[in-house]
Amino acid sequence: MTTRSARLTAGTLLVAVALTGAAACSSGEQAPAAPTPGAVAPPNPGDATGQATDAARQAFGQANQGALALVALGGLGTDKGVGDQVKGLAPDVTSQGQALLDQIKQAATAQGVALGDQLDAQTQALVADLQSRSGQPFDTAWLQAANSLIEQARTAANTVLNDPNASAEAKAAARDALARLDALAAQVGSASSSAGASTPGSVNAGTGGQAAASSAESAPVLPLAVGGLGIVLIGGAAAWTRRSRSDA
Amino acid sequence: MSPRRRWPAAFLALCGAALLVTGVVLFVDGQAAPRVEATSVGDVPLATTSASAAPRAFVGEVPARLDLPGRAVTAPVVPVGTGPDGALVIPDPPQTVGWWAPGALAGSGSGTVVVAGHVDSRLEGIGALAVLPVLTVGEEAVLTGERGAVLRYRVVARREFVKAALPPDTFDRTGAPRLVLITCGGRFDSRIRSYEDNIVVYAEPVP
Repeated sequence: MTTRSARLTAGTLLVAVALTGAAACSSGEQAPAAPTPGAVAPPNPGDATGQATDAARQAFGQANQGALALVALGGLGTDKGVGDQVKGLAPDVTSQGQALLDQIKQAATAQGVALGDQLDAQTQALVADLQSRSGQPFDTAWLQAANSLIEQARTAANTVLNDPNASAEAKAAARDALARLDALAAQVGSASSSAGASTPGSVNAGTGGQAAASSAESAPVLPLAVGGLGIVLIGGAAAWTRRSRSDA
Repeated sequence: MSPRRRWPAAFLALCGAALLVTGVVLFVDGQAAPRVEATSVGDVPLATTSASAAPRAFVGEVPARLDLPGRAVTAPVVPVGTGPDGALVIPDPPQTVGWWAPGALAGSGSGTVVVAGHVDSRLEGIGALAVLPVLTVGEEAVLTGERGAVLRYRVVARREFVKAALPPDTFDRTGAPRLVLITCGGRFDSRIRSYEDNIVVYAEPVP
């Protein structure tokens, strides 16, 4: 589904940036990496050369998928968006995704990690979901996906900033990303409100009262029972009084 | 008659008068503020449960019709969004229901498909989802997609919530697949022509 894919990709993007910084300083003592989605093993994957570690290679793969998802999201918005909000934002999402993609590939290449261009299963599901929609359902789902992606990325950036073990370079990158994400979040949030894509806070689904009236008509049992018992007691009191008088 | 013999009668009369007044107050209150009652049944499927990550050939469809076969209810479904006031926009005709368009597609492998409709309307009477308070666990709810796919769900639970306290995961888009039907319920305030609560029915896809 769209949001899960967005979470995966965006949430790892900034972590990947942090790990990239960490990997650049690592001694490469870990075992060779297992293949990860979107990451192609380098010709000489051994870390004895001081190249990328297992964690860094995996992070590159995930970050690559994140950037690919952004590009795909932007492209879909450009192609299928109908409202001004999506049409206006989609090119920005594409250009930011492409810039990230270039940055990640450049960093990965420098560390001997080759990255693929294929979308993983979750991103493909995101694209398929959005492609099944058109008009308002497309626009609103697109904005929800964008919102979710940005929120997850902001969370990741804050995690890096609050991590005492993160390098100064990683924190600087996270701070920079957070500033850009905050600006984009404001844009997308505003667009979501205008397009009716924000999550509802309430549901007001009844103005007539007929349903309640028909329910009330069918069950006035308690008031009748209580009132009836009251009448019986008053009658009993009257009978008691009459009997007492006649006895006297 | 001595005062000693009089007090039981006075006591009975007082109790009787108190009960009579209570009964009248309850009756008048019930007439002035009628309610739509819905008892809680079943176990609510958690939206936080992870959906299957396996790719699916069928990604879902935009729903076009809702059927509740056990109640002889058929209602057209139209996409709706969120209004400027933050409330879900509900189609005006009470016999039409709204699908929250940013949410999951009908038949999707993950996320909540939210369908909501008026329980009643001042001008047009009882709504299609007025049956929600009486739906039972195990009843079927069927969504038909705009391209003809038939997606079957089975009712598993019902809850009544104060409107302001609708659970935040009601509109979840990432968890296990489920259908959520929403209408209004609880006390009807005739001054502002609004109900105090929401009645929410949860259904899971039939495998």
